[in-house]
Amino acid sequence: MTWTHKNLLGLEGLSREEITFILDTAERFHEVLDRPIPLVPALRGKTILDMFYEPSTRTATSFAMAAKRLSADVVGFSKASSSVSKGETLLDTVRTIESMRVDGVVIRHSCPGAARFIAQRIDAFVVNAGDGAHEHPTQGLLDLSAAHKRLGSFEGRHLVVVGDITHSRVARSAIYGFSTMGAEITVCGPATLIPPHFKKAFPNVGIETDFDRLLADADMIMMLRLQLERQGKGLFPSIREYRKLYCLTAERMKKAKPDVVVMHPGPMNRGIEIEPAVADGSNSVVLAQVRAGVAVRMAVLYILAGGELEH
Amino acid sequence: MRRADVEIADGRIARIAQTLPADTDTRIIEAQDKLLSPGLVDLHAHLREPGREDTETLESGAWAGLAGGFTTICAMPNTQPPTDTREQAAFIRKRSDELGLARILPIGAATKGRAGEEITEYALLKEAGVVAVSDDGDWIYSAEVMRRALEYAGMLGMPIITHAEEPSLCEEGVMNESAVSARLGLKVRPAVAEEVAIQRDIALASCAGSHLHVAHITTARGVELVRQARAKGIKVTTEATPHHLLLTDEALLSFDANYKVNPPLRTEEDRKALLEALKDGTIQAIATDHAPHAIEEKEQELDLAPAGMIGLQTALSVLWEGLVESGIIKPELLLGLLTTGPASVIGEKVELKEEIPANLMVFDPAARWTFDAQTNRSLSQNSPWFGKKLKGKVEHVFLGERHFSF
Repeated sequence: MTWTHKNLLGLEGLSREEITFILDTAERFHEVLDRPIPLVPALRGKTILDMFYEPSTRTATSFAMAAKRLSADVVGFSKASSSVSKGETLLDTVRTIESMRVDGVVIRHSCPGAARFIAQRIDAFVVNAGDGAHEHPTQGLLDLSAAHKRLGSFEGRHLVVVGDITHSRVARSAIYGFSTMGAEITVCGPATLIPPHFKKAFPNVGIETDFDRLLADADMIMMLRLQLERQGKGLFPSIREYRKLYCLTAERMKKAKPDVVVMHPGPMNRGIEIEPAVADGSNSVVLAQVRAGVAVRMAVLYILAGGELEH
Repeated sequence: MRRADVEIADGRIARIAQTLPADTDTRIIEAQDKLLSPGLVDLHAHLREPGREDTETLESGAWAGLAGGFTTICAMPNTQPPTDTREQAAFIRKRSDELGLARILPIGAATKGRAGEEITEYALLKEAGVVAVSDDGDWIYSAEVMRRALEYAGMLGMPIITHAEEPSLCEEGVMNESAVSARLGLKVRPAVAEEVAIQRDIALASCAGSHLHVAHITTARGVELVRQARAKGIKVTTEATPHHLLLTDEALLSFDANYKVNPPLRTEEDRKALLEALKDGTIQAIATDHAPHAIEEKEQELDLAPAGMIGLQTALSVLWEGLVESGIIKPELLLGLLTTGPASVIGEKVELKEEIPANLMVFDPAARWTFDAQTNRSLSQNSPWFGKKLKGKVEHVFLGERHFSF
């Protein structure tokens, strides 16, 4: 197929064909990652700028590794080490990037729309590595990739997303990605962490506050990381109560399908939203997600840079 | 509305008649199929002087007003320093007189430093030309302070203008809480924040027996509360802005910070409720909430950009096309909402009759123009209509002996 988008800002609006194309491309890079020297010259001479305005270990590392495996030159900064901390505006940063003539930009930012803000103002392609609570498209793609390996087709499969839906870009990208691929989705969490008007925004997505009612029917369970500081804002009363209602425990797993796929975007609060025995158990694809992350990001960088895979 | 000739002489309306004979020394301005109306009155503008003269001055704001047909502009007090003393208010009046452009009437801060704690000297402010008091931009958090402010202002016959958004419900919020915010993951300023604030302030106004004016009302529930209070005889008036009457929160799907305003753009359902409230008289005025911001402040991430858009120069054009030409309201109603309605809120009269000083504007509903760097009179350009082709243009303003053509 012909890829027509300059950027990857979200999974919203991508067609099933386009998502499949990225996942298929990622599959080929999975093979590359299995080689003794996991390196291809696909992006030789290209420069990727990683801009991380928010602390990130796994996403930043994963993107950097993906670019390097493609032989791209990677430069980057995080908020602490750049002029951003000296109060430079995003607009000035954009102008700086333009004059440096990079080929692609990967941006993580706490403000929804930040990746789009940059993409509208530069010629280089932009990959959104998470913009506030809006979208985190490569996370959605790696979730799809990891789940696909276990389940095959998503048609009619039921994904349950559990936790802080309001503040989760992971949840939003999952909703767009998995629903486009044919899955049914239910979000689950305390009423204070599901946005009002959610039903109107996502008419085909179910809402449930009682986790236990969803276990038997779920083909995939995606546990979201609980931001502990939300307790201080009064969005939930205590860790122990949250744990009681929403932790994916071994006990709860007994009520789930034997082959249910358990996902977590990481980093995990072990013992809060997921019990260690479940996180490390046979249903968990947590490490496969991390691995899929590199392959998926290789695919995204590769496609946006205009590469053609040799057969 | 009627067809008539109007003769202006020595700064006054000399004659109004079906047809007037033209003397040879009379300058004739042909206004066939155009609209002659008393100059418009804006109850709600931020003119930024003193403090942020890089974004607007009393002079540039007055010009923007004139170019939009406004001959009276009420200046909100959230300047630096705020208009919370007689001296600050007198400065604005004096400057307005010196300029001789649109008349600028100061609105005084309701509390010292706009801190919501101690009321300002309402009597002295009034003496210096203040027409209402307000801590616009912020809600007066303490119900006790608001109660006393209403009592004291009521004694002097001045309205208190409330910015009705309960702040604890709006923390860091940038847009309405709706299906759109649920999709975009943006922090919210929900409709219920307006509802809660209006409810309290109506209760306090009722208790004090004073005149409460609700600034920039935006929600269906909000207008319903005002409607009910007015039916009970409580002295409540309210205004809506052109942007809340014409736009909805769907505009935020673009992530364009020009659509970030406080209170935020609401849903289509709210917008329709505002239009109904215009028709049944629940809303007395359309006010611009003209809020200039520098480009470098506005061209930022949505979370960081300041809220507000400019509106003085474009209000009549966009309202005429959006509400009158589309058949939603009658031209008389729109003009009333921009003249007699707002004037009555501050105890003034607007008339068009013989012998009074000229205070008129001519609007050509068919004229087309582009609101851009060439035509813009404001020092700022933060408007969703900037760069757009508009229909309907103010062509003349007559203020006493002065005549302005645009």
